[in-house]
Amino acid sequence: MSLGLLQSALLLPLEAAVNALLALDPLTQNHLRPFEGQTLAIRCTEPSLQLFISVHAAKLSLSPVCGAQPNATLTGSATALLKLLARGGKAHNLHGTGVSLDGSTALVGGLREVLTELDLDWEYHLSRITGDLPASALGRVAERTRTTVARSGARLREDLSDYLTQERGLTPHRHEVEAFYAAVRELDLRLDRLQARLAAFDAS
Amino acid sequence: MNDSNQKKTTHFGYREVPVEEKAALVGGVFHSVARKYDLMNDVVSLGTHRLIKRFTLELSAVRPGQRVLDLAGGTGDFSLLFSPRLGEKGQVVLADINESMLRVGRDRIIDAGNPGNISYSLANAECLPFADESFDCICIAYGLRNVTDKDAALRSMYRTTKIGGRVLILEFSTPRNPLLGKAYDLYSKFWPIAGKIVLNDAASYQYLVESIRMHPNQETLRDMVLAAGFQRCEFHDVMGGICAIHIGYRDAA
Repeated sequence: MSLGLLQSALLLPLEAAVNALLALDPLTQNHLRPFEGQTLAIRCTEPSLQLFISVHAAKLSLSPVCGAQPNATLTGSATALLKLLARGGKAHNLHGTGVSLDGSTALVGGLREVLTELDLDWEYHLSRITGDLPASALGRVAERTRTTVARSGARLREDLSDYLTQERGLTPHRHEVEAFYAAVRELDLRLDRLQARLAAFDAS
Repeated sequence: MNDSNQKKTTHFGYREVPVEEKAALVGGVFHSVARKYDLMNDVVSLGTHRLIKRFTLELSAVRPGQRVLDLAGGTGDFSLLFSPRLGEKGQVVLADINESMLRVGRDRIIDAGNPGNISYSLANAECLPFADESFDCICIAYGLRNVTDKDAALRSMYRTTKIGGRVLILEFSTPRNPLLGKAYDLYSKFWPIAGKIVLNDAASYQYLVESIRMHPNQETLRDMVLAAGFQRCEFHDVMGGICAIHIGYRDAA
């Protein structure tokens, strides 16, 4: 329980940050209202942790304990749960994610939408503090930085792939890998056919 | 005790006092500390009392529309935590036996923009002035220790809890680890000094230290909760047993 208290202390700033963001986006906050009083339990198997997210007064409450039966429970390893949060698409489509869901799919979908699709007009909120002109200038700088970082990241990935494949010869080229997989598939099919023929000989 | 001339006594800290005098003595302590009660709580608990109350709130499992009694609620911080969880249709009753504490609590709630679902009651925990089965949840945080007849208070809480409801008792308790116990003893010697500095009142915090020592341990309190009528009782140690949260459930008879 002392550990729980420590987790509680660590969750408090996170909860405050999430609710501060929600307060800036009333439309998203309204999406929480249908889930008032409901609780989602997230049980992480590796490492063994649990987190309860409850909706109260259109705000989120994060806690390591809950005295009530949760309305929905997501169970999975930390990596599987993070992948689920990061990927697009419907949250209740859990096929192949390594995460299992027990209870209300609507609650899971709703909360995931709120957490991943917070649509904040940063420039507007910034302009209330700094005024219009600096906010607009900062917005342009931020946008340019974002584009540059994204472009550099993509180029770095390409260059790294070329270096490893062509310069160092550490990894095979994509076409080589595809040809190898095709050969393996062909071999697999031939083996199946051979096995079927042997089975037919045995039967006759 | 059998002698009719000999008065029944109870403990007030380490002192034995006549039963009928304890409430007034405890009242004196809280009249004295009411003004800066929360500040002193922060000082002696190093702020952890806020976290522990949050923790207790999560264990209460209250839902919108329910009725909650914040017993010995004093300065109203717990009521303010409960209030948004109960919504417009729910209600928190902030009750305390001490007028000064209740006054501080009421002022604080009004200053916080009174959410509209909190009401106040000057009430003695031993004989709660509410109808049977009035509350979905009763919560008493750091209050039971100061009640003269704890068994009567627990029976009164049982009577006013709805079937299916629960009682939460957050109270100082007995550390499990003897080393932690020693360190805690040593630390609590600082409380009367802090009381002297902040409130110019060392005696009230000397009483606080002594009353914690005299309070029943986790297992004894669980037995008392069950004896009051609650069908189930579980407790959670907090910070190695320095505090404990007992939850008594009133199931269908």
